Amino acid sequence: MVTPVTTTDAVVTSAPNTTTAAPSSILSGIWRGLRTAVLISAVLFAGAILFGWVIQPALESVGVEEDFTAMFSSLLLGLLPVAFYVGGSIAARDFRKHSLSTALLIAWLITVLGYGLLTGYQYVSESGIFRQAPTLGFTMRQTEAGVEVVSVEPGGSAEEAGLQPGDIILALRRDSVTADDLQTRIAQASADDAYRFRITRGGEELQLTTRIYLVSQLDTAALVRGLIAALIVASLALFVPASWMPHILVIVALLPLAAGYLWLIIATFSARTQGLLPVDANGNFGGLTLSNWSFLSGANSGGFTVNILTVTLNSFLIAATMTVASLAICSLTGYALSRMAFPGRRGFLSMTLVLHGFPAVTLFIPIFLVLINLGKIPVVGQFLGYNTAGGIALVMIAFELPLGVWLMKGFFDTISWDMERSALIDGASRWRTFREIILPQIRPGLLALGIFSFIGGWNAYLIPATYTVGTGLATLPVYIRQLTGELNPVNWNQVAAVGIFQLIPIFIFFIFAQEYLLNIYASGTKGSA
Amino acid sequence: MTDRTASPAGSPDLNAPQRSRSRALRANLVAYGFMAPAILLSILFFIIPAILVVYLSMTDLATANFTSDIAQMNFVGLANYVTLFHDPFVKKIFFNTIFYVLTTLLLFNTGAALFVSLLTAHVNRRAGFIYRALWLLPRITTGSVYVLMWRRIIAEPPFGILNQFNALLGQPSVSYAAESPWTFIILVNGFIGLSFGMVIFTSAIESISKDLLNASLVDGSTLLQRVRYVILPMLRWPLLFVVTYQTLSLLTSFEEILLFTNGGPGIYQTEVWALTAYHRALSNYFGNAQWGYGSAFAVVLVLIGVTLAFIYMRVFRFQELVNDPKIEVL
Repeated sequence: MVTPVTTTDAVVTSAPNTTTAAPSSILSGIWRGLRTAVLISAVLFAGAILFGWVIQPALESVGVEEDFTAMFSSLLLGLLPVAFYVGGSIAARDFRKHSLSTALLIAWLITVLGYGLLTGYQYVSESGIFRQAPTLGFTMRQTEAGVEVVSVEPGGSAEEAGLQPGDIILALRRDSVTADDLQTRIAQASADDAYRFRITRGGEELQLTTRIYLVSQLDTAALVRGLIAALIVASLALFVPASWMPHILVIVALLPLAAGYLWLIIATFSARTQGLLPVDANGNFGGLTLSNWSFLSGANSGGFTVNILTVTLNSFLIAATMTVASLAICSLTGYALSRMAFPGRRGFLSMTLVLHGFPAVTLFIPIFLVLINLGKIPVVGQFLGYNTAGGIALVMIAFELPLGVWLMKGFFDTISWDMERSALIDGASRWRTFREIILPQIRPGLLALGIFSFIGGWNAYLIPATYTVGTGLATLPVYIRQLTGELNPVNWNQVAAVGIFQLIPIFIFFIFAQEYLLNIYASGTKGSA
Repeated sequence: MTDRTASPAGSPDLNAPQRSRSRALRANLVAYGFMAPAILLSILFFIIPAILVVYLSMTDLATANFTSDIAQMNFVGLANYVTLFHDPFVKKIFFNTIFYVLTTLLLFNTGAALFVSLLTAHVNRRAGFIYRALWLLPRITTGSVYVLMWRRIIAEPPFGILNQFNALLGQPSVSYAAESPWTFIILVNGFIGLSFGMVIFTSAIESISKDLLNASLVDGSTLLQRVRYVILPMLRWPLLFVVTYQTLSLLTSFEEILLFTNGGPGIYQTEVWALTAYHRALSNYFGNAQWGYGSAFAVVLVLIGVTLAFIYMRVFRFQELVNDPKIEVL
């Protein structure tokens, strides 16, 4: 039996079971919708207050110059009206089966109410649509000769200064301007800023000074547009199937990444880019090229001739070794920590977690000293000392330990120990139990750790770069850093190409890992609890 | 219960106490056998270096007098720490670090990670995989390329992607790098950090028994009820782990900040403690890397990290989780 729920839970969700009884009346529907809308808005508002009025002053008082809290606070405030409309409409969904028009009526009423509140607030505070915008009192357009004055607002400062339609503005003080530029400046100006223009009127040059003044730019069309947008949002929230919601949220959250990676891909195939557009040397659309990928054929790239195959193979070997080794070591350790009682067990667990708090970069010199001394051990030292693949692998596995040990212990803890105990009672050794009974049950955990280890090894830059000399053991990240070195002019688009090249194998690896997981879950873990 | 593999068959149990002691010893040996590789690695690459770094912080080791022989280093006592605490910017860097760690941790590394894994666990399985693969991209992209990408996103016109959208919407262009460096540092790191929690939370959600979820479905629970009463309680351990682990990760991470703003654009505006340690120890402007002084910064950071780790263990009652090995000696 599910634990009894609080009223808020019941209101916020649109569960099918709450619709079985026909909703009593429109009024109660509106009441419920409003409650949901107000609740959601209140949460957002509280967040905005917390960040903008509590955390920000606190941070400022201790000398942190940050911009994040203000940004986040205004983001929450900006989302507040949308959340209000959506919240009200989601509550109205319960009426959809009963009567579509009732549901629509409720959703729209709540939305109109919300929009009315928003507009009222903006009217009182002279913000948003009632904001007073700075202006000079004339409209303009860009022409060949300069910025042409199209019309002059009667009573505005431009008219007072004597500006007439048809005047061509040549320069602002002494700097030539474009219409776009001028409009941007005006939009950012404050009241009483003086603008001195050099203009021509019928072949005659004049100088005029105008002053910025504020006008209310109440635009009824914008007001109506806003209301229509709000109603559309509300209707969408009412009709979009609930199963789409997670998709929509995830995709919206992914947008920045999508833009970034789209650029990365476009950049690798073009000589230069402006925003997301590939352009040629003159700034026109075009300039597509494959030359950024020439590193694949071993061509001289950015002053470094590198055999890409060797570099990739190095990266792969290090990553694969690291994955196998850390899976083996961490699952052994995690098993012992989860299942066996021995002195020092708790100490070791606490210690590994604490060790993770050691900044890798500042342990570099001590580790360097350790590796040098390891190298002095006869026979073994040749494989494990400074400037050997073994040494690098050991250091990287060690840095992976805290994560691996704790992750594995956590997964072992979740497994029921009935099977294991019966195996032990039947006389299986600890080792055999571990290998044949337990290990197959934590495949998701092994996979999660495997993904992190492989990524760690594949992307490792600092450790290979620090503990190797020469290029014999160069990995892909080391190669990328060489390309971005300060000695040569950097071809960023080629860097992007190598970056994409490095991305592909690991992306494929991840997809296969996921497929594997899919199969496990589809068939069910054999004998798992 | 008899331990057939261990005791000779049929031998009478004459001296029980002694036998159980030897059996306990053997069980311990088995345990240490399982633990041996991890213990060895920890000693070699954590314990010994940790002791060394404390020692280094009390020397004036620098590029000028570098030596790999410990005996030849100049011991200067606590001089480095005195210098550190008299640094006028130390307070600012300290609070920068706290701000950066807390915001990124709460909003992205745990908050958004939990949100994304709950969302992707509730869509069609294949779609969930695709989303998770996409969210993993920042982590698998090498740091310099990832940061390059973000630089292009916020660059000035005509190169910046955000400013291109601003132009399309008729908005004035913004120089994001100068006006909101922290916002983008948190985004850059948050998008990487998110995937860690996401993978762990998703694995944990996937391993919740389907019977449990089905039972709650049959009982007529809503989505939020299932999240609140079925999924979240099962996520307790992963949540605590991610919070603790990521706090320490964020405290010591600096690579993206180094590549993105390098502590700028204002004076120490986005400098965090680990970055200072790096600046002092590895990339001093005067070409004289002060290993000793940098190590002092590192030791302070370690102390903060260790304190936090212990606080977490106390608050989250890790001891309970750590306390009960499933099977005692058989």
